[in-house]
Amino acid sequence: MTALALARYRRSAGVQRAAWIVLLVVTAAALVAGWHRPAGSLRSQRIAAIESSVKCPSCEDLSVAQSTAPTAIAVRAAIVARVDRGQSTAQIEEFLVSRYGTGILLQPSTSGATGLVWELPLVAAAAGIGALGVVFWRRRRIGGLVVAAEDDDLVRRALAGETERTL
Amino acid sequence: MNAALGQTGDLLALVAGAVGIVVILTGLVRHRPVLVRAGRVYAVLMLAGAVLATVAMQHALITHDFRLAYVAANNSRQTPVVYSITGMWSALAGSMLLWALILTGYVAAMVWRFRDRADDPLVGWATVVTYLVAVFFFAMLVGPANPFHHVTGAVPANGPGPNSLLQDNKLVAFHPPMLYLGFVGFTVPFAFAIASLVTGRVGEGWQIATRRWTLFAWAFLTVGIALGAWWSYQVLGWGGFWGWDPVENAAVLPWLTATAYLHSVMVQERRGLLRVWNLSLVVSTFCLTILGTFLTRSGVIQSVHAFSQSDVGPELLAFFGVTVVGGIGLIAWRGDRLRAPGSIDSPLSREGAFLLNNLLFVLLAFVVLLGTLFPLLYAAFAGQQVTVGAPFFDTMTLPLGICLLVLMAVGPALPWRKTTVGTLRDRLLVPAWIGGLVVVGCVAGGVRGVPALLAFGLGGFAAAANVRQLVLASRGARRHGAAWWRGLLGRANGGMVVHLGVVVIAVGLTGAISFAHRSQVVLRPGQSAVVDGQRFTYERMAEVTKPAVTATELVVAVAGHGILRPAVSQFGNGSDPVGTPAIASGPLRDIYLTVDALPTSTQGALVASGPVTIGVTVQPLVSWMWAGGALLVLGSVLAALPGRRRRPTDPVSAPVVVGGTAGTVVEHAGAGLEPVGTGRHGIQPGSGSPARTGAAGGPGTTPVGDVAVPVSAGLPLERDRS
Repeated sequence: MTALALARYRRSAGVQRAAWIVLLVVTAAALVAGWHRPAGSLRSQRIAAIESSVKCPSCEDLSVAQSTAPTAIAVRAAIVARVDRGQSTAQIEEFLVSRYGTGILLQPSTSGATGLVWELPLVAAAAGIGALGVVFWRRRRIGGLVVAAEDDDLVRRALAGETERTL
Repeated sequence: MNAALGQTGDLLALVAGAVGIVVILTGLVRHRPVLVRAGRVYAVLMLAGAVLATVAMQHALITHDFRLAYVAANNSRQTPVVYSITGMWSALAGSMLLWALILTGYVAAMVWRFRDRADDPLVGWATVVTYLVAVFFFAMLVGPANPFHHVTGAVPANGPGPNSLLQDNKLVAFHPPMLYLGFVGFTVPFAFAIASLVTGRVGEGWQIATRRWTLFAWAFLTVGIALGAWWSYQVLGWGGFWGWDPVENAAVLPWLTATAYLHSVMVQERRGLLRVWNLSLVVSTFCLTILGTFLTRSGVIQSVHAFSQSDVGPELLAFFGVTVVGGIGLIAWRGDRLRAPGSIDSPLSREGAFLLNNLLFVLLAFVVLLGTLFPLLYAAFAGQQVTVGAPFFDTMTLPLGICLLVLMAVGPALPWRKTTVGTLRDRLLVPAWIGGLVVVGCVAGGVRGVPALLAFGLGGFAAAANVRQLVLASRGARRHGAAWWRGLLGRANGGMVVHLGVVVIAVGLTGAISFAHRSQVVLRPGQSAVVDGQRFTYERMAEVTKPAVTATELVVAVAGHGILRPAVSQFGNGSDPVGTPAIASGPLRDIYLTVDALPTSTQGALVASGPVTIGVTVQPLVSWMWAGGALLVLGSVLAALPGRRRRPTDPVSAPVVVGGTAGTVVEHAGAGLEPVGTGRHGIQPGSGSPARTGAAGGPGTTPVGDVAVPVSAGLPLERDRS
């Protein structure tokens, strides 16, 4: 097969559609195969999850999981002890809040007034997508492009002349 | 002496700025071009004043002149010269002086650059706006943030030196000036935006005039942020580089809106659309730089980067309020002139992609702003503490980041005006396959976790799509008889290189965040431990004494990486000791050691033979982020260089076929063909221009930018006037 024929083959719509489908299947299969199976016991996963959402009391922005400050180590020990005593995540968070105040949790609660911080971005995203929709919808209502015959002719001539050079 | 010189400099600049405003305004209002031209000299006077004040401050710092309160608080006799120099931006008052110096530098450069257009009211008004901003900062320097106050009482014999964290790494000599060059640089496009609103010349003129200024400021802000992350990584000792700290957020906010603007400005330059939007983005970018300075310098928010607190809060907040209200008011006032002379033809087009890009960047900015301000607002209204930390920002920004990667892959392949699915299917097939193969390769190589695999795969897709554009552009250059590297120059092609840098950063970020291993090991001298496949041997403890610092180093041999020396350092007199991490950096992973605990006897003395606690972080691909930052700079430089000029009659976007289905799509170095007569502003001949035609209007003309041009001319209009 000559290079030209190969190029034409590659550009045929059917071949391309097939190549896209194969690509999607291959990628999806790879993603399934690469699905994360977390290591460690359920207990250690729970501890890690709580530790990464609790602020180190003596740091500015670090979680107790990241910090090596003595206060962080103390909080970590408290978390481990309470997980082993069979307390739920909510109970542990409640204890930490009663001890250190509401600022100890790095993620604001999704319920109550602090839920706003989670909801407002979603509202903004919906509004933004809506605004984009309106922009495109208005375009449709105005109608398609009306091209004068002389302009159209100009384009046809440009295409005929330029195709060779630009491809 | 230093104080007198410095005060004189600040006062000179303040008075020069105020007089300059009066002179130029009089000239503009009374239509006396002589006065407008004469007003330019005050820019030079302001610069001279700022330079004088800076020289005085530097002289005071280097000669340890403790008569100045600022020097007494931020310097010591033991401080090395380099950290004496950087002492100028170690605290608020000095930072303001640096800000003022850079601002007057920009103003003087702007006045010189536009000296041929000095009579132009647009330039005149822009100059007035920059003078106003400068006067505000010099008023701060003369008033509440005066760095030249004398100490009260006796002159101290020695000072504490700069904050320990600010004399631990040479990056403090580069990161703040770069960041300020970025922050302050947005004053120039802001000034032109305001001038365009005041003069009513709201076309593309002001954008084209400030195109390189915006790019310059953006590039420096990018470098500043990247260096800040690097500094954070090398100094703060937690193994991370980005903590969604308020100061970091304050720097990234204007970057996000500026990045949105750099994209949407192309839609306006080519199609005349999005005028209000672009003005809003430029005004917001400037306002966000002021808001960020307020948040981080007024002490309302605690941060690891805020090394100063003061009482300049109210002034900065007032200035922020004035710019916001003024900007919105002016845009509303000129609303009738801001209507676009056309509309977007199809969502599936370059301009559609830019719109989506803008939506994503503005949403990112909104999320970051909300997360930063929420604790303040909540404390004010609910009276309770709440922390909005990294988990919130990570959760909210991850989907937006993934969307941006997708868009970065698809966007560059889209032609202007409209296209078909078939075209995209053809252009993106190879890049998409490269992305797919990256996913397969990663899975085969043992990488697990869907977000990371998605990020790597989409990174590969986006990188390939952008390389494809560069290859097409290079071939185009060759075909026109130019060298291949000409295809790398110009805004679009430099932009592709910037995109590649963003991909490299995204890959590095994903690797570092997803696959970091942190642990602590407790070792006695001679003992070894293995963490994440890396073998460490703690050899001994060493005491190191230098004039400005005494440090306790741990000598740790890392198999294959030589000796690392994490330390605890004590700077100056009586300040708290700080940890100094030791890092072995490589293309695949970084090994990061910190001293977490030292053995002490009951009396508190160090026990050299005791067990030490060493923090170990093994993080893959961290260095990719710094490499990506370098690519961003390279891309920005390429984008600022003039690319191949398109002949006025050259087609630039896809042909639009009347009556439905598109025909053959001809690719033109990433763009396509555009019907010449219908032009880049999407004006529809014979349909009656929707734009207000103004005084010069008439059949077949529409105001574009500053001048009215015949619709069918198809000339490059204002593009070549810059």
